[in-house]
Amino acid sequence: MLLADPNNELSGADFMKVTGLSSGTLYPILLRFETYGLVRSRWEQEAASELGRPRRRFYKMTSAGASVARAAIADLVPGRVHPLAASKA
Amino acid sequence: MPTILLSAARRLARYHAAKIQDQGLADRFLEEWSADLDDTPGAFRKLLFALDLFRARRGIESTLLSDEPVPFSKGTMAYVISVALAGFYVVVVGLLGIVGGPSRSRWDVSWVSFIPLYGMAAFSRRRLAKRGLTVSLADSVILAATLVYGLYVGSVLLFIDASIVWIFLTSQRRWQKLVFNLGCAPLSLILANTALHLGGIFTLGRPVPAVLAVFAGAYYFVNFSLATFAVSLAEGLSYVRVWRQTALAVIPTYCAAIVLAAGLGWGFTIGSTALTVFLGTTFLGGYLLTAQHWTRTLA
Repeated sequence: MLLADPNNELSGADFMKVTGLSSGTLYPILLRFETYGLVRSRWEQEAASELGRPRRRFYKMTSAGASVARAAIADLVPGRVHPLAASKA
Repeated sequence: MPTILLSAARRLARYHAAKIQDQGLADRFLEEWSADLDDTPGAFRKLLFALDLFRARRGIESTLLSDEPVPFSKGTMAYVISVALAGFYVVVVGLLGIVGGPSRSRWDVSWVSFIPLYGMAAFSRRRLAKRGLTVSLADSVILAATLVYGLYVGSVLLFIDASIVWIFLTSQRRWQKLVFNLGCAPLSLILANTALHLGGIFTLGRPVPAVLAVFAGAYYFVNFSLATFAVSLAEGLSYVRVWRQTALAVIPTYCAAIVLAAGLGWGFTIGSTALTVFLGTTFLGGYLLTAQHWTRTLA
């Protein structure tokens, strides 16, 4: 989903809804991806006091992350280039 | 009942966030988990979300610990720094040779054809995850330029190529790998040329495809050997074993790389830009379609 639209940003709750991953699995993965520069994260722009609730944190794929993701997708089918992998600029 | 579940979930989220040892991450996940908890539908699912944060915390702590890179041994460091220093020396000599050398204005126009080929090649690299090696067609394009313009230009181009790969394409940022990558390719070029020259096999300036292929093969052999030696030192494995196992995986594509570099160099030498572009696009297309791997340097 992030690979299809590089400008797409998702929160942890969004990821769990889409992927079905549990919180125990998801957050370490996101932190590790962020540590290695594969995703970037940011807080919601408004302050928590303005929102009246805790701020969401949004994750976005970096260009390095997109390259790694495409390579990983391509490797899923040995000898073939996946359409997403082949569409890299 | 839902209120009790929701209250318990929030308490659990606060508890697990507070247990994270890094204070910055603890604050971050307290707010992030609270927000995501609010966005999770249903009181029971909120509770499951919060209960599983126990595993999340363990995973986060494990990530924090594994972020510390495994230090290289003294032997590995000595080897990496030696290769880097020797490579930098080659690049400096190359720069001085270019500045102080004769004008090569008659080749200026042909340079243009290298640009799209290099651009395509630079972004068509592959990674051999098993050995931590990254490979690229860009070497062949630059090697062809070396065959045409000489060692000085080649060593500087390889240094620039390694810098571009590092800046735009590499996600890992250990300085040891950076300096090794920057120095290994130019050093390989000079070592290959020296070995062939001493053996009386080859001198640059003879635009015969077979001779160009021999030079390209020697370069790849030396470059591959230097990189696999670094891998064997870093991983504490037998050099022969690493060399043999990795070579088996890349020999077919090395052969294609050698033919590509020789063909490109020959095409430019005889002045046929069209032939060069044809050869380049044919091999690049074949490479991208088969998604094979080329060993290049540690990355």
